[in-house]
Amino acid sequence: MADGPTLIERRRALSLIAAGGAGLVTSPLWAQSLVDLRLPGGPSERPMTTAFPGKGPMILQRSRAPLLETPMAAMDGHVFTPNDRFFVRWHYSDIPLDVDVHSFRLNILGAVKRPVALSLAELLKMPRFEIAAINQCSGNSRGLFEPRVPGAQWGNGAIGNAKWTGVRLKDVLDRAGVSANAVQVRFSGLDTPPPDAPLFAKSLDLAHAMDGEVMIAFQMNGAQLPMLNGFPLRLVVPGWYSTYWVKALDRIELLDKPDTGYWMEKAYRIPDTPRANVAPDAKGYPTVPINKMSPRSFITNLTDGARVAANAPLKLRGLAMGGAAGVTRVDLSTDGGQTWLAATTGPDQGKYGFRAWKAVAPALPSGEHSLAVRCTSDSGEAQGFEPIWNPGGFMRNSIETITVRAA
Amino acid sequence: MSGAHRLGPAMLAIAAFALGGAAIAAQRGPATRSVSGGGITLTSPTLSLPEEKAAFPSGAAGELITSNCTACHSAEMILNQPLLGADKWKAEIDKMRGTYHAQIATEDDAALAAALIGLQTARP
Repeated sequence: MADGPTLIERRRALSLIAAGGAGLVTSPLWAQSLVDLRLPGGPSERPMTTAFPGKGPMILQRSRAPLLETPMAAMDGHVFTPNDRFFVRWHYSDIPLDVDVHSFRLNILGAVKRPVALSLAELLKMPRFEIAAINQCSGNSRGLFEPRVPGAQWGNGAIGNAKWTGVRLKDVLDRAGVSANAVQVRFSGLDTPPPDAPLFAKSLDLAHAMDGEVMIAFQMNGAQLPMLNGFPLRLVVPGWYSTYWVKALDRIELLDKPDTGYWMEKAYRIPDTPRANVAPDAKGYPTVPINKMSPRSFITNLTDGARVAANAPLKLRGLAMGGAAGVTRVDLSTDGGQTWLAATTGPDQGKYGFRAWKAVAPALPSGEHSLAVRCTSDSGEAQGFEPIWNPGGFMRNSIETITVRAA
Repeated sequence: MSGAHRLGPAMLAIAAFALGGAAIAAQRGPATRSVSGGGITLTSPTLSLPEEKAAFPSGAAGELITSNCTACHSAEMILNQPLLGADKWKAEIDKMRGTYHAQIATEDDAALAAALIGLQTARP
């Protein structure tokens, strides 16, 4: 499916963008083709790139600081997203380009009994666990918001699922000894902001940090983390959006009062309303830091605009997630949501990971058909058709619909 | 998670002593870029980022955007934005200057917003 119908092959890949006003130089390695993300109102086309070390073909959203989106086709057929296709998102351009595994230290400081600086060798000696968990950007699918909002204009591919290996954050915090007055834990990494800009740092409440599920990971899918995904250590916060999954984690600070830094107080905030949804002209509503994810589901073996055989059973497959709970059921509709067919779900690999689903839809007559997939989570939360809107472009989880032409 | 290949520092020291200088020299080679424990090895990687390809059109407007906006991020960030009105572009300029301390002179604001809007309205 790497050459799905939305992938427009172009020898001179970027002549189209150049015609639109941007001067771009072509390169055989850089961009062989464009992908159309079908973002309402555009611009919708992005180059595919293989120029980033350790990464296969990725949708180039921004070269500096890197924003690389996973093509939906790369998620087809497996629940774990390959490391070399896993999406990449950095805030600041000064990202770590090399890490000395001997001199690297993970510092735990602040409201602790004894600050510690752990080497990677020490971390590798600690008890480990594994967890399957989806890492999804808060702004995944932002480009599909209507009305459109500024920010990284992702399609649906700022998401991936991996099996993470690492140590419990709780065990690491216990090495330092949490002081009785600690209330939050702040995380930051090796990326550095421009002069005077705020350090990218995110915080969790102490009880969450100590829940035994939050991980300091040194492997994903059985291999060390790619540099672009946070080598050597990354925080894994199962069920929560990626903004908390601090990459190249090297500093953990116990706070004796809630974090008032920019990245908690101003950025990544959502309306404190059901599904983080507000009217585009709404003002004055309360906000909270973004937190748990919601159910989502995707068809991965067909893309919007695909041609399928008419009058023959249609095999469909894809991925579903419950968010912060497991997947109870996945339903499929070939008539725009009037009737639903239960899909078969694959093995449960843990409630925080993707669940594969498949279904055979009844034969479709010739013509255009709207295919929709809906996930219901173990907490009873089901996706709905109603769009979500908020000014940050966060938390889209509406039912995804694609149109196919049967002929 | 097998511990079969796990060697404590003491065992490594004994092994190095027993094998003499060659083993010690080997440890100073490529192996020093790795650290191991409990069956997992982490190796220092080096990342080289690709050259940026996207750019703004030549001319005064493009140069104004390039000089004010590309210190912190490459051109695609702007080229990929949906149609944003003057108010939204002004808010973006304020955010870049206020939060991220982008070196944008306030007297350039009107021209910069006009250049950004011009870039978008020139799109097919």
